[in-house]
Amino acid sequence: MADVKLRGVTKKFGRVVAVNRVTLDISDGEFFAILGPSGCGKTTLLRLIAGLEFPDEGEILIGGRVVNNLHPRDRDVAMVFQNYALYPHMRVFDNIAFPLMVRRRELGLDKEAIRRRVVEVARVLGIEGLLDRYPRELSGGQQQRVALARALVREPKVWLLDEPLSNLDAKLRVQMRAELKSLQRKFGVTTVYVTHDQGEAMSLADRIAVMNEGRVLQVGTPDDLYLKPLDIFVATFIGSPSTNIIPCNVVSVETLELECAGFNLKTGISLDPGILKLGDKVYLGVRPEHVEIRKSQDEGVTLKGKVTIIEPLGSQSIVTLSLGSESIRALTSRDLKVDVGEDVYIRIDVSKTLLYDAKTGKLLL
Amino acid sequence: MFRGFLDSMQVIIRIFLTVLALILVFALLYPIIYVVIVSLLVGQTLIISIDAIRMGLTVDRYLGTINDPDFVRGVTMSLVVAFLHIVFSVLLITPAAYAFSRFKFRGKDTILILYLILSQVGGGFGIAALIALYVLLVKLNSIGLPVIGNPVVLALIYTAWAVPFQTWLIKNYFDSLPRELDEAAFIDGASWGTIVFKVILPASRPAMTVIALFSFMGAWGEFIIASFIKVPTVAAYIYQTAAGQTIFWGDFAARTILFSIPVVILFVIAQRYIGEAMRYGAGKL
Ligand SMILES: Nc1ncnc2c1ncn2[C@@H]1O[C@H](COP(=O)(O)OP(=O)(O)O)[C@@H](O)[C@H]1O
Ligand SMILES: [Mg+2]
Repeated sequence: MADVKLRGVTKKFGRVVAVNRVTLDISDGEFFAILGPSGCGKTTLLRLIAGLEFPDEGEILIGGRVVNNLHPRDRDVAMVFQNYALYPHMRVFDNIAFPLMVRRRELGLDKEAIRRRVVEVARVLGIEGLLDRYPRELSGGQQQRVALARALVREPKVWLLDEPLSNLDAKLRVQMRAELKSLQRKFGVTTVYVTHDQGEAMSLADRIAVMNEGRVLQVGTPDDLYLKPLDIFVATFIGSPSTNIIPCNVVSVETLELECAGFNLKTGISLDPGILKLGDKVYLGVRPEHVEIRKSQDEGVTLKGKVTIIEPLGSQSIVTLSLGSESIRALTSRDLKVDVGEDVYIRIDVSKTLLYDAKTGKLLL
Repeated sequence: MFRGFLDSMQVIIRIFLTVLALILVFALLYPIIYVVIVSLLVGQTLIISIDAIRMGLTVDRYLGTINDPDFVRGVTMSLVVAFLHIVFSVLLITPAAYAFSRFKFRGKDTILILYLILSQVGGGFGIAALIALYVLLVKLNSIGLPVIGNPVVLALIYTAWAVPFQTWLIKNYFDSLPRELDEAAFIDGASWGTIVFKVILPASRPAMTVIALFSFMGAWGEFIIASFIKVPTVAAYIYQTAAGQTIFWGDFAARTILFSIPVVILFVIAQRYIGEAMRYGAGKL
C-alpha cells in the first residue's frame, strides 16, 4: 500500500496550463476524489500520477519514492479509463488476465494461478458468468465491472479511476457507487477518483480536492467543503441546488450590514477590525437550504420576494424567488404550498451565510 | 385512373433502368466474356468469328494449363512471394504506422506528406525508380549477393513499394482506435511489441485484412520487377508466354482466367472489410 504526494506539479500543453502547481497529500488507503468541471485538468492530473504524462515542474511521490522518471509499469498503479478501454478482441477472461499475463514471469505466476486470481476477482465483482464473452456482448455496467476487475487483479498500490461511472445510466450509477465504495474498503487500496459530479464525490470520498482551471482550490472532507467552502467557486460547485451568490456592498462595519441588490441585510456579525471597510464589495453566499419561505411576516423576517419558478423534486421543491433585482433559490419542503407570482416573506439564516471577497473570491468568514 | 397511370409509369421506368443496368454490366464484362470465349475455342485465335465457334468449344486449354509444370511452379512461386510480402508488410509497416499514429517526432509530418505524394504518383516516376532499382540489383548481384532469382528480395521490394500507401492506411486506422487501449496495456507493463502485436494489431482486423489483400494482389499481379530479377512468378510466366514469335491465344486466355480466379475469390471474401478500411486510407493528417 502507498500514499501519493504531489509537490507543486505543473503540466503544460503548449500554452494551455492543464495542471497548475498542484500540491496534494493522499494518504495510504484513502478514497480521494478530484472534483471539477470538464476541462479543469482532472484527467491530466491522473495521467501524471499514472506516468502517462510527465510533469513540467514539481514532484510526484508514490509510497515515499519520487516517481517522476519511473515507467508506469514500475509505479504499481492501475487505471480505469472513462471509456473502459477493454481490448475488443479478447474475451472477458483474457481482458482481466492481461495485466498478469504481461508480467507473468516477474510475478512468478503460472497459467493456473492466473486463472484462479481472475476467477476470484470476477467473483467479487459478480461477473464470473461473463468470462467467456467478448466486450461487445456486454452491457455498459458489465463492461464497467470488467474494467474495474482488470484494474484490481494485480492488486496495485494505487487505483486511478477517471470518471468511471459517467457512461452509466442514472440508476446504475447510484448502485455502482455503493459497490465501488465497498470494493475500495475491501481491498484497502489508495484510490484517486476523478469526477465532475459533486454528488458522486461527496458520497464516495474520504476527502475531495476541488479543481478549477488547473488549480486545486480546496482540499477537505465532504463536510469541510460543504460547510466552509474557502473559495466562491467551491461554494457554487458543491451542493445541489447550487449556492446563491449575491453581490453586496458593506454599509456598516461594526455589526456587519450589507446592501445587496434591492435589499439590506443586517447580519449582526461583529467582524475583526481590518477585514472589511465601508463600501467594500463582497459576495454573499447563501445555500438554498438556508433560505426559508414564510407566508406571513413573522418576527425578524424583513425580506419580501415573489415566487417566479417552482421545481418539485419529490419530497422537496426548488423555489426561485425574486428578491430586489436578484433572483435566489430556496429549497423547501413540499408541504409549503406557494404559487408562482405569490408574494412571500423570506428568512435567510444569517449564521450559515458565507461571505467572499469580491476581488479574490476567497472566503472572508 | 391517375393511380393507374402512375403505376404504369413506374413499370416503364423500372424496365428502362433494368435495361440500362444490363447494358452497363455487359460493357464492363465484355472483355472478360471475350477472353473466356477465346479460351474455350478449339483454334488458337484472337478473333472470334462464327467459323471459329463452329469448330467447337473445349476445355483443353484449361487442362493443359493446369498440367503445365511451368504454370504450377509459377503459381507456387507467386504464393510464396505473396505470403512473404504479407508477412513483411505486417512486421515492418505496422510498427512504423503505429509510431506515426501515436508518437510525436521530428520530421513526422514531412515523411507522411512524402508518403502521400509517393503513394499518388505513378507513371514516369515509377519507371525511373524501376531503372534505378534494376541497376542497383545488378550491382548487388555482381558483388556476390544472391539477389537475382531470389523470392525474398522480390517480396522485400514489393513491401518497400507498398510502404507509403499501407503506412497511411494503417496509421489512419490506428488513429481511430482509442489511445486508452495502448495506455491501459502500457500501465499494466506491456512492452511496445506486446502493445503493437497483441493489442493494437488484433484490434485492427479490417485494416490488417485489407493490407493482406492488397499485398497479395500486388505480389500476385506484378510481373515487370519479377521478370527483371528473374523470379518465375505466375504473372511473369504469363507475361513471358504472351510475347514471342507465335502466341497461342487460347492458352494465354485460359492462363489469364485461371490467374484471375484467386483475386476474385479474395475480393468476395474480404469485401466487407475493404469498404471499412478504405475509408481510413484516404489522407487525413
Ligand atoms: N494531450 C493534450 N494536448 C493538448 N492539450 C491537452 C491534452 N490533454 C489535455 N489537454 C488540455 O488540458 C486541459 C485539461 O484537460 P483534461 O485534463 O482532460 O480535463 P478534464 O479531465 O478535467 O476534463 C484542457 O484544456 C485540455 O484541452
Ligand atoms: Mg477528463
